Amino acid sequence: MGLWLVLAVCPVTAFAQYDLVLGGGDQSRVLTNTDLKGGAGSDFATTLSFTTTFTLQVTSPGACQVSVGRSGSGWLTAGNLLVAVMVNDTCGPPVLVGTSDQQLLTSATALVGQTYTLIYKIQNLTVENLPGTYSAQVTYTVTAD
Amino acid sequence: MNMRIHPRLLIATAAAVFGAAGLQAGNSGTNGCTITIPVCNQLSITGTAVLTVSQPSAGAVAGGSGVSDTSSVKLFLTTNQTGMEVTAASSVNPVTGATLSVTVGTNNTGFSGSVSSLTTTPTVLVSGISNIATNTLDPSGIPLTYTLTLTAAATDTTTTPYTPTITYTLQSS
Repeated sequence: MGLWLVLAVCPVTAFAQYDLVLGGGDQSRVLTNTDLKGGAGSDFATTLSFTTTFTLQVTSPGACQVSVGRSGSGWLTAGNLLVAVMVNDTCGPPVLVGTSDQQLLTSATALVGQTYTLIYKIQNLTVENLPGTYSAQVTYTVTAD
Repeated sequence: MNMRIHPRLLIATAAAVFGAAGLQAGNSGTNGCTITIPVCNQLSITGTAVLTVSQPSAGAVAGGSGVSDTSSVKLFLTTNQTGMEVTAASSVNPVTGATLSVTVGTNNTGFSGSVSSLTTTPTVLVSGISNIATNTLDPSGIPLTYTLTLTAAATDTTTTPYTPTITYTLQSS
C-alpha cells in the first residue's frame, strides 16, 4: 500500500512547483510610415519597440532558467524578433527569439511568483518584407538550472 | 486468459498521467506576436536646377548643344512593394524652341532612365522598382540631370524666365 502511494504522489509534487504564467495577452505592433528612419529613401528604424508590455510570472523550487523560442511559418523574411526584460522601466539586453530555444533568464535561487515585465522589439526590419501581417507564437519555458 | 487490473495500479497510473499533464501546462506559456507592415511608398526630391544659357557667339545658337545641371537635384525613394515606377511631368509645357530633359545620373541602387522631353503628360522615368530604400546604397540621393536644349527659334525668356516645376510620382506600373 505504501509503495503505491509513493508512486502516485511523486509526479505531481516533483513537477508542479515549476510554474510559469504569462500575462498581458497577445502582443501586436502596427507600423506606419513614421517608423522609417528618416522619410523617403530610408529603411525602417534599426530597432522598433512594441508599445505594450507583458508579464512573466515564474515559480521554481530552486535554481532555474527560462528559455524562449518561436514557432509558426508566417514570420518576417527580413527582420528579427527580440524580447527584453524590463528592469525599473528600462529594457535589459534583448534576447533573439529564434526558432530554437534561447536562454532568457536564470535564477540561482528559488522563485515564488517572481514577476518580470517584458517587451518585444523588432530588429533590422527592412522594406524587403511586403506589406502584410506577420505572426509568430512565442513559447516561454521554465526548467531546473 | 482472464486478466484483472489491480485498483491500486489504476490510481498510480492516473496520478502519473496527471503529473505529466501538469508539467506541460505549468512550466511553459505561449503568447502571439504580430507585426503589421503597411504599404510604404515614399518619394522626395531635393534641390533646384538653374539652367542659364550664355550669350552665344556670332553665328551660334544659344544653348544649342544643351545646358545641363548634373548634381543639384537628388531623388530619394522607399517602397516595400514590387513592380513600381517613377514618372515625371512638368507643370508647364516648354516654351517654343526649348526642350527640357531629365536623366537619372550615376548611382549604386541600379536606377536608370530618362525622359527626353518633359511635358505636362507624366512619362515613365524609372521602371522595375521593387522593395528598395535608396539611402541604403545612395545615402546622398540619386542625382537627376536636367538638360535644356534650344533651337534658333527659341522664345527669349530673358525677362520672363521659363520656370517649370517637375513632379515625380511613385506608382504601380
